[in-house]
Amino acid sequence: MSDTSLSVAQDSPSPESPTGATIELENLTKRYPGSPQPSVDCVNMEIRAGETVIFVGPSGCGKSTTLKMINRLIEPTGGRIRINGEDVTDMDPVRLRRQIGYAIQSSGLFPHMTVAQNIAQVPKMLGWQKARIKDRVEEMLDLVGLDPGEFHGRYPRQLSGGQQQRVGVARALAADPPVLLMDEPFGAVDPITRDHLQDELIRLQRELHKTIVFVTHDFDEAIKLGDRIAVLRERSHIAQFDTPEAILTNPADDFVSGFVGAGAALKRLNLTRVGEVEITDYPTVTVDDPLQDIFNALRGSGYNEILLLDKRGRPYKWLRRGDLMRARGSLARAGTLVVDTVTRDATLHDALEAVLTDATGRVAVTGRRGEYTGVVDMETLMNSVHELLEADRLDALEHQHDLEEARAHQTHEEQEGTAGGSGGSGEARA
Amino acid sequence: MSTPKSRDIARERSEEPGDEDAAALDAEKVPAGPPRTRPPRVSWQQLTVLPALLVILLLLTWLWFQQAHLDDISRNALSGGKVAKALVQHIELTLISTVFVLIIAIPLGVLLTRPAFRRATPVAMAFANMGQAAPAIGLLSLLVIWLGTGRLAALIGIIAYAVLPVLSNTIAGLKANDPTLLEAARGIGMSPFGVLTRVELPLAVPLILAGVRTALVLNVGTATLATFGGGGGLGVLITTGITNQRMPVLVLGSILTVALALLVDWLAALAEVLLRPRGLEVGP
Repeated sequence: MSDTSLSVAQDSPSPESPTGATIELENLTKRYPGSPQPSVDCVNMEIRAGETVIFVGPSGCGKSTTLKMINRLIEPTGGRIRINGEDVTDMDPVRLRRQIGYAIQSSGLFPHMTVAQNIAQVPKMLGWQKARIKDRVEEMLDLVGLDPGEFHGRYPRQLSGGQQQRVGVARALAADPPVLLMDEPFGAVDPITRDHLQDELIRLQRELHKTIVFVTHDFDEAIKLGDRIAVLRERSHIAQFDTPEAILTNPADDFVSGFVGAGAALKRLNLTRVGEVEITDYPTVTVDDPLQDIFNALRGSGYNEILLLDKRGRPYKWLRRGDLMRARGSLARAGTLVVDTVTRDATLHDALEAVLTDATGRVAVTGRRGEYTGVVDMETLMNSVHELLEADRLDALEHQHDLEEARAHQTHEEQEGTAGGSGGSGEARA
Repeated sequence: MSTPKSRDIARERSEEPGDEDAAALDAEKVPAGPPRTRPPRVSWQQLTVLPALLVILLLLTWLWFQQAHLDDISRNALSGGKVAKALVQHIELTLISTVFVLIIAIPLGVLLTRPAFRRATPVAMAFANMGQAAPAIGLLSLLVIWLGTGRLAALIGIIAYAVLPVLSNTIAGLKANDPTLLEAARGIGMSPFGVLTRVELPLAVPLILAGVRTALVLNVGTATLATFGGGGGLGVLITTGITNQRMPVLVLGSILTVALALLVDWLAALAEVLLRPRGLEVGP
């Protein structure tokens, strides 16, 4: 980066590619002239480096205003902003913004510039060499899953909404900023595309470890993307700032639980992967086994069904006792085909869906190449969910306890401090 | 004003989303070549019809003059390169006044859309309106009384008359820009000047150019009045024709003015099409 860069970039572990910076908001306030109430009132928040924090709240709660104060698109009327410990409240806003990625709804791409020119904007402003910018543009297009050869000469109007949004993210990341601000970036695309874009963002973040502040009004999006979620109520008051698990299992108050909405336990299923729960083993046979072995397995297993695997070890059919008899010993005709399988990376929600739709009440779990690794059934799922919820509840209790202790400690210290202060002055007087 | 890249027709290339091969080619890499799948920005009809009509008009006029009876007064008014001189003067008046109109109206329009000066907009628009509402001939006479006869008075009159369309179109064009887009521009770290030159003005180009076109055509017309202030131009032929009751002189002056106005309008229309930023066209 050029010498215009913030110390943000230099302080981070590797100066080549800064991997996120801390953001501290201290008593951040925005008061518009002529309105009695501030729109954002004393927000205090610490965001860790490399963390994805989601601001979620009803419309008009000031979440967008709070976000825009971080890059000072809206100038705060009170409070401080620190990025990686450096106070940026009074630095040149243009310089500050070149160090912070910014992506907005309906992408905000410049319609008169090609995709490549759009992405090159920030590097160009930072004075990068032409060749470096060109390489970077290709790299960014590749990163967001667009073929550089095909897309870089196109104009935004020639792209679909999802593609525009990807370019918007590419532009925000082009100068490799440690912090990325996203203001409802996926608000204007259809649900399927939005789902894809969310997955992409999760993948990107796994690679890049930026500090992302993301504004949305969609709580499900918040759960999916956030390491921590700040639920904001009017005037940007923080109702709860915690992990998605904690918010789902232990909402701080009625406002938060109202926002979480019905089915918190169901939403919790989205946060756990199949790989994290107990996968039971199941008797299996392969299509190459002699029929007699299959008969024996069916009879000796103690299960009503066994799983038939194909030549490459992938789940193929469920075989019931008697199926083979009815099919007169022909494997080709016996049993019911396996319709749905889940991978270890699927969420419990997906697994539950598969279990509920499958006639047998269980679903086969497959590995990377579709090979059988185990089975998840209704009972396992129920047990795991109960365990998860219980663990969450305990965590939340402990967390609350810690908080209370910390608060008590703080109050104690404050009282001590004032007592010490007055004592000191008393002594001085004496 | 910023000039968006790759404007020339020669570089025209496919912009259809479906045509991946063509779209993949970089504008810089594509040498001047024929357009691929999409018709060029300017069709051959646009390029040829009006010039052809003008050529026919001038040819007919010339033929008419061949057989027309010209007496001494007419001969005197037209001989010695006087027609060419009047034409050149007229073009000069038009161009110089238009350049000044642009120099005045575009920066003024930019200034009046900045937050600091937004409140002055009604006042400035009132002045611009007065410039256009006042009859050009009256304005010119007053200027001649003030500045004496000569080119300066004529130019000032023409300029005052043509500021309004460019100014109002500049303001309208800049105001029509999507505020969220401008916020995005600021959000990625563009300076206010960068936002203006790289985003606001390029996007306002179509409307500004429409204003410029109107101003150009107005100026060709108003420049015929320059003769009353001693500014020369084709108006000299027309007034000579009228005062001396010499039809051929009057007709020549009028036809040349009309042809010039049409030619200027045609050139401006071409410029409008060619200078419009790429990506703004309503593509297929």
